[in-house]
Amino acid sequence: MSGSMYDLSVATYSQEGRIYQVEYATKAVENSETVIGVKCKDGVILAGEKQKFSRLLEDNTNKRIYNIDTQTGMAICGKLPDGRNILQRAKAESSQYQDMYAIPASANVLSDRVAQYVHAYTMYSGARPFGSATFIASYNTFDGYELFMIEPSGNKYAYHACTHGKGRAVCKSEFERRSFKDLTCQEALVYIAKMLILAHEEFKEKKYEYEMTWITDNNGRKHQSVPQDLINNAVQQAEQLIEQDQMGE
Amino acid sequence: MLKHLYDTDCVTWSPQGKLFQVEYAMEAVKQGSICLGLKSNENVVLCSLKRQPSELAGYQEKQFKIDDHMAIAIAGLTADARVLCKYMRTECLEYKYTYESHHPVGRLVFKVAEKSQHKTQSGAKRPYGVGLLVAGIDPNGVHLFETCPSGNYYEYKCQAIGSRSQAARTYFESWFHLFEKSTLEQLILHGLSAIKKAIMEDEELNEKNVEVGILGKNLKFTHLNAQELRDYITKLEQFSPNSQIQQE
Repeated sequence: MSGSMYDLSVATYSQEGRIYQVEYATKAVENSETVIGVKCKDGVILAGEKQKFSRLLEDNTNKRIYNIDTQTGMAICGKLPDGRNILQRAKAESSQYQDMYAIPASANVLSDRVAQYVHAYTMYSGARPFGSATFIASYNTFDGYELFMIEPSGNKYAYHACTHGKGRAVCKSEFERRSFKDLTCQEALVYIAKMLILAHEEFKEKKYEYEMTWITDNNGRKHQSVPQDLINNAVQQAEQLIEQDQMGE
Repeated sequence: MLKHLYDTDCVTWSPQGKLFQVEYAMEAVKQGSICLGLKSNENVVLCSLKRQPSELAGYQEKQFKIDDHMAIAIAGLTADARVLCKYMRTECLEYKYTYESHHPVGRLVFKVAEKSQHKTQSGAKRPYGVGLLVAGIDPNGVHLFETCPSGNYYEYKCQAIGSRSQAARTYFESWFHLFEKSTLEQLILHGLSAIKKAIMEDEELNEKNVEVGILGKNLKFTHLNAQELRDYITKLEQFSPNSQIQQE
């Protein structure tokens, strides 16, 4: 696919009204590791897979899910440096809002501001769109649990469940099949691990790490990492589930 | 594919979702001479091979102290490295002044990565053409990070970057399980063995072209002096990782 001469600058529309540079930036996200966000009965979970591309890498470092404040988390899918730029902006917006209004920003407001920031980089030829999609999960007393995804185009939507990256097709079909709204976060961990494992089906031989965070009724409604032993259990059970499915076929 | 259309600046995505200018900047790191780092529970060691522009010139230094608890080894454009080095030193000083303690290593690496990322998102700028290995010790433990021109950073148990670094990485993959409990001396010998794998056939390690920096929980960053380097290079003949396994 080439846009001939209409795809060299983000400030150029093609004849069909497309902006190819934004689509190419989205390509960068689509080719990267899968990230999932899911709202469950009692909370929100963010999860991502990380390929250990070298045996020399330190375990459980090189994070892609960060805190914006105690009750809001952000997961980055796509180019991590670009995502961290967006993260710094989100932290600044959140901090500024709290200074002004003395309450934490709701996810709706925060992701709106982040989306405007991301969108601004799609309008000028001297800059380029971000090559990352960001997921914002939060809890506050007025709005409850919320989950948003912001794409490189600046589009943002609220979701029950969302995903981006290489394995998004696999994850989306799993979302349709299973009603996460009826599961607690603890119960959902297995299915999330299952989705992440299936997402890299072609690269089974490589080593992967799984990063999961949650905000639930049970952990004080704060954005925190899921304890490592729970992640390990979920991965083990998920692998068994996948084996059963495959034997059943 | 018409690569030349998409690879002239940092603000053009290719149809495959790549930024070619950033990838080209990473090539600059691969052109630099090798530097590597490895850590144990107590120490971090940085080893580099220094290049000499000509017979009459001195050897280019590749390791710089950032603070008592932190140092970097560089591969790539030295001038760009100097900018990052100055930035890191300033940040450490300011942190010390404000908080009366050492700058946490991971946070400083994050700042460097952020700075590097900004240079990849403007039509008027170019990425830094240098990769850093950041060795540091803080209350969180012993750290070794690698930063890239792309703004990515990774934490490693041991890593080698620069020209012919794959040979050193292969050495590491075979032996890194020994490093955690290694003594400082063993760590230095492992580092020098790895560098030895990466030199050309007609080259030799000597106290002039090798640089070794060491850092420990109770040891501020220091370079080994010429005599110490000579001693270690001599010890290298007798050293084999197998002997370390037999001891344990």
